[in-house]
Amino acid sequence: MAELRLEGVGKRYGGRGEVVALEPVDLAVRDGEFITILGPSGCGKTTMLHVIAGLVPPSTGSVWLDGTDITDLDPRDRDMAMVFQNYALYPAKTVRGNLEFPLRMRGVPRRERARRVEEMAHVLGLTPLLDRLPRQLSGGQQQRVALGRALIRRPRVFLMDEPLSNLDAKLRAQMRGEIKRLHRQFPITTIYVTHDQAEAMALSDRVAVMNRGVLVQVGPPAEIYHRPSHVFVAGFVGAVPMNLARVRLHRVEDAVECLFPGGQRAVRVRLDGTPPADAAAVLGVRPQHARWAARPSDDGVPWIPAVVEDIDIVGEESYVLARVEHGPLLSVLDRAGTAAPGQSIAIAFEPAAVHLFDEATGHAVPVERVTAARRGDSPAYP
Amino acid sequence: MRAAREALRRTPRSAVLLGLVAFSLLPFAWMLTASLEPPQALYTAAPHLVPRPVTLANYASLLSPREQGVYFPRYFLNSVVVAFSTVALALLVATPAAYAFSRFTFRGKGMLMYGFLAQNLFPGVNFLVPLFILMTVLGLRDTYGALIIGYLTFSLPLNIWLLRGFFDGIPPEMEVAARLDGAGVVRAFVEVALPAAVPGLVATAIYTFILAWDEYLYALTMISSADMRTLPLGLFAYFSEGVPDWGGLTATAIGMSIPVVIVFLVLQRYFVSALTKGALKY
Repeated sequence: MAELRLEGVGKRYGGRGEVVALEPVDLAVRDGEFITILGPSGCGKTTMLHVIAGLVPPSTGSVWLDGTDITDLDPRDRDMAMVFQNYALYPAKTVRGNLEFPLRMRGVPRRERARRVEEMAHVLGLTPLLDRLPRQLSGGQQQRVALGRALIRRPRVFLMDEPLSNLDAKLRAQMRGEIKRLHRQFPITTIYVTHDQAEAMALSDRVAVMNRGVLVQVGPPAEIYHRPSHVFVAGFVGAVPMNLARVRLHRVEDAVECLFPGGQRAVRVRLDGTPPADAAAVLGVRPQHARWAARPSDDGVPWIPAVVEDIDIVGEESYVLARVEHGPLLSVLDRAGTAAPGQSIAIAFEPAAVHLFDEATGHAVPVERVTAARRGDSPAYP
Repeated sequence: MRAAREALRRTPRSAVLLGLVAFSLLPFAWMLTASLEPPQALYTAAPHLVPRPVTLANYASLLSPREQGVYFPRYFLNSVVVAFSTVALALLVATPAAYAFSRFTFRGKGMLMYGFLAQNLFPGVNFLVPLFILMTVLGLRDTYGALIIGYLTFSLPLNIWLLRGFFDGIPPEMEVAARLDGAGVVRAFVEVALPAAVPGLVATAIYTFILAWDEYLYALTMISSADMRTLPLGLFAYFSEGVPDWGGLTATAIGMSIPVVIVFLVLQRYFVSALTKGALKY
């Protein structure tokens, strides 16, 4: 059992606390849960991890572990283990010495230590390497030793700070699988910090997205992906970035028409509550939820005229990058694969998959996902 | 053809390098030669590198007592005691100090560091008189203590700066990991940071050793009795008898160089081995 709870935990630096590293955050992590703190560098995610580990005292709030306030507890008394981006293996100790160290520090008897080292080495495939020094290991092997050293004493909370970012892409995918497997085998409450949204999506039970010291959204990967609560989350999550375009909202009957700066109709949606008249907003559509055709068809959704600027090939898929006149550059999943730069095309969004965000606050504006309005029923817009 | 041209291209560079090697090794070779032949041979016409005739008489004379029973083995012992004590104390004091400077923030940290540096900006001679008075007051003049304390004053500032640089180069994550693994501050320092700093410790030790082993002026000021002389002072004794005893002088110089050479040979691998390499990626 290890349930971790942050209550209003914040961190400020500087003489008068003028540098905000972390705005007060509330977060509850369930026992055995794998939660990822996702965000760009400098967003406060590592600060949060260090506060949890007890390496940095929070300026406000408290940290609770299984109902006990551990805010002022020394790091070594918290029973947490951490894996670092640079692995932080003890260079003068062999793999065995590294794995054994946490047990030795906790007074585990020699025989028991040897048994658990053998066991952990077996789990991680390190048995033939036990007498090597860290510098004699490859990056992936060092990474496994770091994981083993953290797991060997079955800590109550397992903290990982960008553990895969020093590996090459192939090894990273492999170690990602390994971490997932280890978590199934040892279901320890885990807090994983990364800036890689793919890692966060693949590994986590829940993802906590952070930006500029603020916890923006917490939820399961699918929810984060499909229902971003903030324009930042929308832009950050997803292998191919979501199209985010400034639009003007124009009320039409009981619905709202989104118009690009050039006046082109982007999509028609229905909003929960009263839509503000002629307000500005940010429209978000994933490239996968847009389609293109050589000429607009009469299927009831607005078609946006655009000119192809480039084709972006990402492995199996390719994306058409097309410019709307006086408007945004839109990325559209290219299913047909016949577009060519310079070509004039028409783009349509799936109305059910668009997102709207308040331009000022960035918060999602709840959209009632409907409306396949007939073509040509909106007034001409200047 | 190409090989020949390549060789030709390299010749000037090789010549320059050979010249530099000769420049630094020839005095040493000549010293060795002089120590292996009778003193009169030195005054024969042409300078030569092969001793003729070869004799070990100079070395044998080192082992026979000179003025009041004081001779080379005694000087050697004095130097060993002083140099090794200085090194041991320097490491004992400088290592934790440097670690603290590297890892902790405390009031006056910057001022202290630059204070140490400032001390090294003054010529060592400036400290001669104050230290002489201090040692007299403390009753340490003409003892090992005077030499060891004096040498520590000279070496510690640089020791601390040097080691601080090494600790700065060790990612603090290693000690953080140790702390989370259950080690205390001291334990993390001793078991994790210290082994990673071994090359730095060795470099510092060698620097301090040579400083203490070779020092002359300060020792001359502090030491008055013959049986307290260190090797550099003992060396100078050969000049004091009118005609320098070149054989004894060079033999002593060779005997004095040997420990330094040995220390280097034993410890040089630490200079090249970067112990943390591979354990951490940057």
